[in-house]
Amino acid sequence: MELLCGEVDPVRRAVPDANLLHDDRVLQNLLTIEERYLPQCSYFKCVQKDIQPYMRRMVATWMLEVCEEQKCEEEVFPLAINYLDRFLAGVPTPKTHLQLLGAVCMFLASKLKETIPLTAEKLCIYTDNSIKPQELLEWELVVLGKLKWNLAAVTPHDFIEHILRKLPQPSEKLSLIRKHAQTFIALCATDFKFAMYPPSMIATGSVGAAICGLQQDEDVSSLTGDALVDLLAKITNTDVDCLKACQEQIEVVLLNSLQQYRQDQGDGSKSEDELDQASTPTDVRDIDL
Amino acid sequence: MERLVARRTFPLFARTSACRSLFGPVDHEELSRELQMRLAELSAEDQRRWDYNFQQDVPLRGPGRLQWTEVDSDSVPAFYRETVQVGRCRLLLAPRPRPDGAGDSPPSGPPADESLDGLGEAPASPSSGPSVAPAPAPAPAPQESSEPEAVSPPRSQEPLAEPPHSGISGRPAPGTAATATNTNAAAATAAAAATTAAAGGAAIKKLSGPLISDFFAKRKRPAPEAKASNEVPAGCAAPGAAPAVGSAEQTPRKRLR
Repeated sequence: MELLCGEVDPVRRAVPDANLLHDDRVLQNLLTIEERYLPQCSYFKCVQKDIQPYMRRMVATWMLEVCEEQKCEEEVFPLAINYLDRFLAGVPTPKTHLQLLGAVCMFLASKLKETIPLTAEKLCIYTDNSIKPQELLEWELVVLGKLKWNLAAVTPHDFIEHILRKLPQPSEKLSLIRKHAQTFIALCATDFKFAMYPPSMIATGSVGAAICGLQQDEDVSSLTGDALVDLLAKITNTDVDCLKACQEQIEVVLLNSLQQYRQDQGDGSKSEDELDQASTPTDVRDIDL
Repeated sequence: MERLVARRTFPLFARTSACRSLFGPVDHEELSRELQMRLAELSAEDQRRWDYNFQQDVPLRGPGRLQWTEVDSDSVPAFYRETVQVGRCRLLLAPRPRPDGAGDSPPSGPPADESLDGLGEAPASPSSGPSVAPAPAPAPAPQESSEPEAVSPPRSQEPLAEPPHSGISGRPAPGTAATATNTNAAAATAAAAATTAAAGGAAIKKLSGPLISDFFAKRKRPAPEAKASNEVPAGCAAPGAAPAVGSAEQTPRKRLR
């Protein structure tokens, strides 16, 4: 019974809701409230004593790996990073607790966004059992309290459909653009540079970078260059120069991590093999933790 | 136990390169101290914000920002009333007759957990009777319903019994974490709701109904009981429901012993 449940993919998806996506008020409201969910300060300077920027990158990269391996919804990772940044902006944290915090943030984001959320046990295994499920649950309370239970943060993903809808792209290209933009958003979340940027700017920059990148290989857009940036900037009320700068930064981050990214892809396929093995309970090593 | 837990989740995925400890071993004792400290911070914040001592379930005495007024639990919608979980159902408890002596049992002595600073600020004096009717969180049906009156008087002992949260570590890991948490959350909601209404239906002037910070503060309380009550009443559904058992639970048992 349990085995059966584990193997069926029971995820049910809602159809895109035109009432939400085709109404400009939704976009305007998102733009109005998004700043509320930004971290309060650049915490490496003013709050954290033990944690260094490279540690955030480490924990963010690990979180991204876990989310990818667990095939989490795309929003889970950026949302978890949002929790992480907001918590760290207020609470001095020793580095040895950082991974626990990352796990808690994924736990919460997954529960908010997914029909079948990550379990505490699973997350603890991903920390190589350096934390216990009980600790995860206890700290969940602390993180919730410190975030004042404001979990429904605005993420760049919330803007993607609104932006894509207003672009004059042929619809068959949209899914590819969407996919690339989502990858850029995840990439931005791993980099602290983007932590203080409004999500709408990251979303707009990611769509812009996605279209520019794809344009090199095939014709995905009738708009290019400045015309594209102008249109994008208008959609989300972003300053054109800020948007350009943001898009350039995204492209730099992409270049920097491209090599790393390919490596990750390699790791990803390897882990999928292991995943297949694991579902076969004949492997004794797998059972013995 | 850990092994069992691991086994249950294990077949779902194998250990991959993502299974790694990033910053070395975790000092669990230090982690636990930090946890208590952070929880105490949050608790103090809640107390300040609501002028309410959530540990002892009494409004703060001093002239604060908010003024708490007692409301009869009958006068509030069912949603705010105390419920009890029996199996998968949630039953509404009959409104409890108001015990006369309720106000006569003020919290005696300082709270056991000094880490929760600010606790002592609000020793509700006996005379502040109207402040709070005995407002235990959801209690196990068998005991509570059979002996509703018994609940209130000894109640004051309850907050002192265990430092909040100490119970969590002792709790048997129930089901998957998600389930456990959900159960907790449900309990917290129930507790908060129950308290808002039943607890002498303390309602605030401008803020009515349980608010999110209530949930948090309340959630801390059921935990100690969970530990204290190793024997879960048979009526209680799952082991996961143990933490859901409200604060009142301990009281009747103490009484019965």
